[in-house]
Amino acid sequence: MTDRLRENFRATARKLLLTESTPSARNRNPSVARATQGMPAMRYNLRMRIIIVREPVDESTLSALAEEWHHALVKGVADIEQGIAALGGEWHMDANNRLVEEGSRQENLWGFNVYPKERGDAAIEYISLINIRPAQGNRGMEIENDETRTAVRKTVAKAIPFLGL
Amino acid sequence: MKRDAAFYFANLGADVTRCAHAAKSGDEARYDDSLARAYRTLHELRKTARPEAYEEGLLMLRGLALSRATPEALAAFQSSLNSLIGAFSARLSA
Repeated sequence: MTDRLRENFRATARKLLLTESTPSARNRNPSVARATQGMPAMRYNLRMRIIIVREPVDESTLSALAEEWHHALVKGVADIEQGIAALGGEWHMDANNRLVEEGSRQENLWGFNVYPKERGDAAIEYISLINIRPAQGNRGMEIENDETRTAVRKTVAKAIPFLGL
Repeated sequence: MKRDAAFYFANLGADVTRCAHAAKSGDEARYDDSLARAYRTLHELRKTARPEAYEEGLLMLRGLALSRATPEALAAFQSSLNSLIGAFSARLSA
């Protein structure tokens, strides 16, 4: 294979990865899997680094996420049914999509922001574009329902225990 | 998801909502931090080459600044912003 052909091949593979962002998505699509065999996994947004939190994270992990993205805050999305959260990323939508790819249902996902240097109530806010859910009674970007807020808070408290939520 | 003008405009709305929330709480540091993020999103919006969307984004930030004059104005601004961004949010998830 000439260098030019190899470059074309890699460009095509990369283009496919723009829509098929995760290893699991790659595995579902045989043509993507073939085209990317032997290549390192890439995200559609190469800067995106989002972690799915199933076990509590420590302060250094949260600080690293803050440093990489928004400095004072870390964006996150909670799956209030499974009790897991996705942390990091530039936009809530990215974390939301990661959880959906992992099997979460959209109606259980709610966006939040955490402030690593704060503790208690000041450490969390419930504002996100993905929270606009008129069909579920939430018309604004802030979560209005107390039960939902409590469920999100519990999920975040489990994921980031040192915030004192 | 396509990062187009609608995407950045809606996210600008979320940044501005965080600003309004911080203003309501009297948290100046958080307000400034959210405002800086809003300007970064506005910059992304500008790059989409949709000048009318950029103009609306600028107006949104101006509205935020003016609404800080009174708590009532801030509450009215937040309510209008939610209505406006709600329409874009529905479009993004469609």
